[in-house]
Amino acid sequence: MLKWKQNESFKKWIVVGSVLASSGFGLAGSLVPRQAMALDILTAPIQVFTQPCYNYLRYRVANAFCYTQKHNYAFSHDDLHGGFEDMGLLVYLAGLPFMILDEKTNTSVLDSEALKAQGYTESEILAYKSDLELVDRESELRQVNSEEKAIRLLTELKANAQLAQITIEIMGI
Amino acid sequence: MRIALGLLVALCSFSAFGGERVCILSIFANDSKESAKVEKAFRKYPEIEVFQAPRFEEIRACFNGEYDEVLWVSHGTVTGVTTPYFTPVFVDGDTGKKSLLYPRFFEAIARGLPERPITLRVASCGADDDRLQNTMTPLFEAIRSRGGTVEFAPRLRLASWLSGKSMTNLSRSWLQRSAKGH
Repeated sequence: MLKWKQNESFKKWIVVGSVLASSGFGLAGSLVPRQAMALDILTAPIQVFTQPCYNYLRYRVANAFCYTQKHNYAFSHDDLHGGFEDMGLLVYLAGLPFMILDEKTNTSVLDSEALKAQGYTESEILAYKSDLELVDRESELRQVNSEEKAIRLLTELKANAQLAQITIEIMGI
Repeated sequence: MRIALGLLVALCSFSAFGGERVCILSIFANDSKESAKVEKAFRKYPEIEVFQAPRFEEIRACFNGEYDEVLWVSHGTVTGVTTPYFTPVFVDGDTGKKSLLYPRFFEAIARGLPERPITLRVASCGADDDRLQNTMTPLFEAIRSRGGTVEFAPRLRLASWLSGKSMTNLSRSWLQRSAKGH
């Protein structure tokens, strides 16, 4: 009888332990961008030699790697004030029964044909392209490697009237 | 008697043409689960025009006065470097390439709106969130200024609360409200 009771209590601890462990894994999973990290680890040899991620403003458009940075950028910009940070898994679970009409910005591309079709003129598109080159040059020159530095640079360029209206509109500066 | 007969004929022809003219803009990739849901919702209403993965011209044409109601269904996103804003996502039907819809597009549509009131129903994440700018705002304002109405699909409360931004569900029952007069 005692042995049976001990056995039952052991079983209970196994259940409690499993629940706690799975909750812990779940929470940890929501805090770490696992896929992004895994992809970065896989592409680490290429990243070491080509260093594609050093330029903060360039990686979004030009580089096929830098997954962690891309994830962080998308996450920080898709998350508005008032929400809970790092709730990716919970949001995913809450939205599971539904077909949510949400899209990550980094899945979209910016091409001049689409801009033209939307009513932007060729000279505006050219101005936008040259602004992108300017931002690229300046960010390399000033070694922009963080979000704060990138924002500072863009704000400064806007304040000095160095950016066209289309750039301000599209980039949201 | 003649008047009653005339009214009956008018009523019959109104029903035959399906009442209000409705344009459905289903801005999703072809063969996606979202486009299938929209297709399914309006399968029984052949008189309602459903544009799957419409081109830019087709989107504009829906607002040129031919239709009384436009249903806009698309994904939405937050973008912008220092001043974030909401924008719907456009999907090219041929290439599947996704791009964002910027203010100029909606300003042009707003300028081309008919003077009579129309109804716009929108299901897109962030479309109803006032906390940030929205590239569709010029269109919403123009419709309201002409006496029309803009209606948004209800947001998912729990998911919106957890994520801190408006999360919208693509619901078949909400979509089918556009077919109520048919």
